Amino acid sequence: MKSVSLNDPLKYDNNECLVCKGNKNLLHLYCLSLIDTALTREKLLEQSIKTMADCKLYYFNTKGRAELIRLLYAFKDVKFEDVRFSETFKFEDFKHKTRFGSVPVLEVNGVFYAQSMAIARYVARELGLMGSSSLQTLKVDMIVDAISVDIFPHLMNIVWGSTDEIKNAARTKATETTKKILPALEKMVAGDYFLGSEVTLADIIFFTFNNEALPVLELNLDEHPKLFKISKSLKENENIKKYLTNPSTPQK
Amino acid sequence: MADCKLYYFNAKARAELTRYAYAFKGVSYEDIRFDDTNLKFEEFKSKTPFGSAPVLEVDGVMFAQSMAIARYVAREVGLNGANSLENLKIDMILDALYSDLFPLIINVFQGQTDEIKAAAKTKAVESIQKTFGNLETLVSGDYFLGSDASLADLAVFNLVNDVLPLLGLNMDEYTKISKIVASLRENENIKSHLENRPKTDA
Repeated sequence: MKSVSLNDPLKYDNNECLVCKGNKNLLHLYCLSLIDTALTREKLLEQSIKTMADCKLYYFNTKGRAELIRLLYAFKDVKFEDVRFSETFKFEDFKHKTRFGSVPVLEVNGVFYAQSMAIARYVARELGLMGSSSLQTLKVDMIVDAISVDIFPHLMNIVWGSTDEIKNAARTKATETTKKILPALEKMVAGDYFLGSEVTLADIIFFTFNNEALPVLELNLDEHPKLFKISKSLKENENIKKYLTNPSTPQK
Repeated sequence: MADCKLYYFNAKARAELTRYAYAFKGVSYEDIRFDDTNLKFEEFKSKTPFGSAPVLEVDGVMFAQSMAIARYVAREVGLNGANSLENLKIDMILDALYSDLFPLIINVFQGQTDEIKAAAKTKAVESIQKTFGNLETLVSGDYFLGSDASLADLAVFNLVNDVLPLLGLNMDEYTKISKIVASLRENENIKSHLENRPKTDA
């Protein structure tokens, strides 16, 4: 019996059952349940994308902690309201509406959610970029945290540290940690991308990490061909190219 | 599925949230702790993904990153949200506690001089009060998500029961959160875990 995949065209040709190619006038309960599942999954994905398109992201007109979220949407070519503070719409005036007084926040069905990585995981999940099993999600989370928890805070301190001493210490820490994890990440690449053939949040955060952080730390991926390939593939991805070359995309 | 193995030092620190998740749901696992005789971390390190701990071994494969592990275990034992939006809420709370506050608290203990430690403590206490004030508004019933406990509640329990007392802080003024903490403290599985776990400073 043929198995149904999300990519199969969901229409009945003539009188033929999509699944077993038998006469569909007969009761095909098992076939129907398979089609239902695919239809349900497809409907759910459609619904997710619609919910995601209705979301509003609020942040400054910079990359900062919102860029990862914007890239997720861009990669999947899903539009959303990308609200950026400006002279006419100031953060100070909006702050009281955010739950924690911080940004980015994502407004979903009128409710505000904070924490950039929580938001990124939610958007990734809804757009199908968190792996398709609990164990796969664990692998994605592990890679994402290695970058966002262990290195990103130091990168922020390099730019925003209050003293030169703090900035220098942050640079040393960021460089040391990056040198340590790059070989480990290289081993985790299971195919074209970290999980194999499908792009996930892990690949996208790595792409931003390679673009933004490695040059600042004076490091490169010469010794890590698989990681280099991930970054190159995403750089050449049509949707990402379109986003990065869009004049309204923040450059820093 | 075979039992998972959690490897960490003999400490609460970054592994206790995962231990609470297993304990609360009564799911067994191997709680392995490094020591100087049977299993030295220095010798085990090369088997871990990033040379760090905790790691969780699932069917022979090692996974790192304490929060990734905690989220995985929560999914497996049924302490995650009922839907994606509830998981966003849980993640928001976890990040506020472990990404924002935890590092500030660590700074208090790792400060090089008394002056640095004092400044770090002032900063930490300020952030803790601001964060807990925000988290208090997120409690939507007996627990953060409503009527059932989730990983987010165990997380706040971990902070209030194990970590904040190290700074001499109690969170009694936050009534809803205190109620969560009290409920969990009365839970049979948590009580048993608290009684039986090794006594460690941090």
